[in-house]
Amino acid sequence: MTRPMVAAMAELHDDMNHGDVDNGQRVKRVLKLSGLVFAIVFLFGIGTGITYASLEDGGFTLVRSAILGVVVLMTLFCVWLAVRILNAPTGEAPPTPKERLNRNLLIACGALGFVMSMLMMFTQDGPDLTNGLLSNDPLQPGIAIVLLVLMGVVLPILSFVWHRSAVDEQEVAAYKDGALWGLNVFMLGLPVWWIAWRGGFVPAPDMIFIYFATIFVMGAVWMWKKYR
Amino acid sequence: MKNRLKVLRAERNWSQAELAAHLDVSRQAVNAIETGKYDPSLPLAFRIGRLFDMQIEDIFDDETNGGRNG
Repeated sequence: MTRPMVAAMAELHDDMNHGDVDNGQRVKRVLKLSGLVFAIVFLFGIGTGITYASLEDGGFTLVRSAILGVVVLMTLFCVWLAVRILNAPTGEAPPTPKERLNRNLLIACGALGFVMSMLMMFTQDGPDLTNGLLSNDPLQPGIAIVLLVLMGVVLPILSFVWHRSAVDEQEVAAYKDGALWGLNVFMLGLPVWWIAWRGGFVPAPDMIFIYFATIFVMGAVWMWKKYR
Repeated sequence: MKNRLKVLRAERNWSQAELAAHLDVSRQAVNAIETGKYDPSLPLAFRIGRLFDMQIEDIFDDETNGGRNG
């Protein structure tokens, strides 16, 4: 093969891939952002714990103030890094209006989930950081009503709009595969745990734990099918 | 399923985003079809055929049929 032909083929290859979706870069970006979100939530939890403990003890000591200051600075640094990653050029063409709607709705759902989890964690009788979202402790009635409206009204509306206007058939197929795997986790996981409990091997089944396991498996398969 | 979508797209100098806009799907769907990770539904395959003014079997290669179109 002559040198000009190789150069021409390479140019054609570049043209064919120009602005294309790069799944490897996308996965790296999502992993970095997920890590930063986890770090922000973790730091937020530490900051809240220090604040609660200090208020219970009658005020902030010098050491606790210093630690809280470091935690706040680290949180701000993580937020800055996340914004920087979000704004960094990816080499891909800009998203289509449908993709933008899809992304914005998922971000809205994620933000809603974050607000709900924070409300659940920090409006019990003191911050229950040991059990967190898996706690079965009573909620204040007012907070419970807010959570019920968000979960029972707002989230279904967002979900309906997402299914109706923001997805294409490839994503629907990925979503259905995820749902099937999630359903299998529920259908097999719950009876296995239940039988093991009746046999005296493990504690009683925890519905919220099974719910989160189902959601986790569903989401993981959905993302894998969409971005593999 | 193998297909000629990427070549047909390059011949028209379209990006994945432009093809996705023509077909009313996401770039991710175009990418998944081009790389053979997702087989389009029959309606979408017909839309692709109409867009490139070709028969479906001239774009998609049924490998189970011994690569008849390959």
